Amino acid sequence: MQNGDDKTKLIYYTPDNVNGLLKTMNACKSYRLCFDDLNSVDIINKSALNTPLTKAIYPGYISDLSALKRSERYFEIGPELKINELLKKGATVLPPILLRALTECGNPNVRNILSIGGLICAPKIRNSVFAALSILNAKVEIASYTTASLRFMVPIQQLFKEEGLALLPGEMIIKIRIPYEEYDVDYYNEIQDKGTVITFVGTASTFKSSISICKFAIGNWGDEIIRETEIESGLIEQKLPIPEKIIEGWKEKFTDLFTEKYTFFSPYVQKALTNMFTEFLSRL
Amino acid sequence: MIIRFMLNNMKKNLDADPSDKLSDVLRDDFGLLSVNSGCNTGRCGGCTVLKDNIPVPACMVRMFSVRNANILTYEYISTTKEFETITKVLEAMGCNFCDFCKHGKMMTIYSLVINSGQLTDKDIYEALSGNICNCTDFQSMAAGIKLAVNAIKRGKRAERR
Repeated sequence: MQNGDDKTKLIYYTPDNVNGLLKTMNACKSYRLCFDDLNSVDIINKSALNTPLTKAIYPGYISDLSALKRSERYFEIGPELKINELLKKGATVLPPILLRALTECGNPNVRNILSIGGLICAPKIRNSVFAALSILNAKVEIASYTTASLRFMVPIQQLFKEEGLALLPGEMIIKIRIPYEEYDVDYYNEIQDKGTVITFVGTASTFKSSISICKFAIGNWGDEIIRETEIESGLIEQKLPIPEKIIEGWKEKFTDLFTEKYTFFSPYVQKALTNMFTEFLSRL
Repeated sequence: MIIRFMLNNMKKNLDADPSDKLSDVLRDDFGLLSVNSGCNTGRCGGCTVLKDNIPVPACMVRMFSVRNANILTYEYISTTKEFETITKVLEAMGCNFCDFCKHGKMMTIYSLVINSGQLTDKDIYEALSGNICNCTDFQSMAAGIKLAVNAIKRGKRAERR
């Protein structure tokens, strides 16, 4: 770890390993983690973003945080792995919807800087990756300095609470774990509305001509991912091919969600999402 | 703080604020005016530089991440043989870039030609999607880039013989 150097009241640290990072986070209480892709991501509280930067920690030189490992059951992606590198290394092994969601982020030059951890921690910037990871049952491994050996896994859906990112001070995402599962149908589509991108992602598997797994999510402009487990579980064990009448029934149920729960979508988005849902079902 | 890095293959020790943007430092401290800051969000591609031979928008790179990196700008690549070949071929194909996008586009094309083998139209379109400007039509640009790749390969083979 390099010692911080003081200029214009900014103390700046570049730890070389995860333990060094945790020690540094423990030592300086009012730090801000800085990344390439975003000006800075503050994991202490959001209001601190408005205060001047005094202590910065840059974790970009930690090699453990930019690794891609594949085991028998899952992939492990380091949060600092750049998206273009991830697309190159994982082109043949990563789930197709994740690859598609990653290629939709920015342009190739920006993807040389963007990291997957940055996209997860700031989904307001881009929510497609977060939606794809949530239906792939991804988990994040969090390390904390408070108790030296504490490392725990959290489902990615639980990474956000109403007040924002659920990480506590001194906690850091060190791995993103995606279970290795193959799906028969992968669906990804997105639309733009008023400068925002709304994503519909879906995966399904079949067994003996009936649906065994069916998951879909809507990535919206915000922290939340819309998952409708009632519809998902209702579709399981549905015989294939699905008759048009039944598709119409599910379509109506899906449309009702917009009048009951998700009223913030514009009529244009509602119609587009319904069409995407119908297309997803018709592909089964 | 002192940041050590390579700029156009020359060692530099710069006393800079680590949170400064690379594009600002290159323009203000080194006078490299080929780095055009346009949108400052990485969309326009006007400030593209090569960081360890990878094209990145300099407006999104902070000085703290430049430590020990090799930054190449248009001023350096315009002195190389490969650049000369690329420019000749592109001119022959009728590609004349405007002053806004020229530097950024040439940086992207240079890295594409140097780092890639066989290129398809899709690869070229994808790579150039980070440089927004419609001053030149895509078809002639793609044809020019493919010809440049072949010309550089031929040149290297001739050098080996």
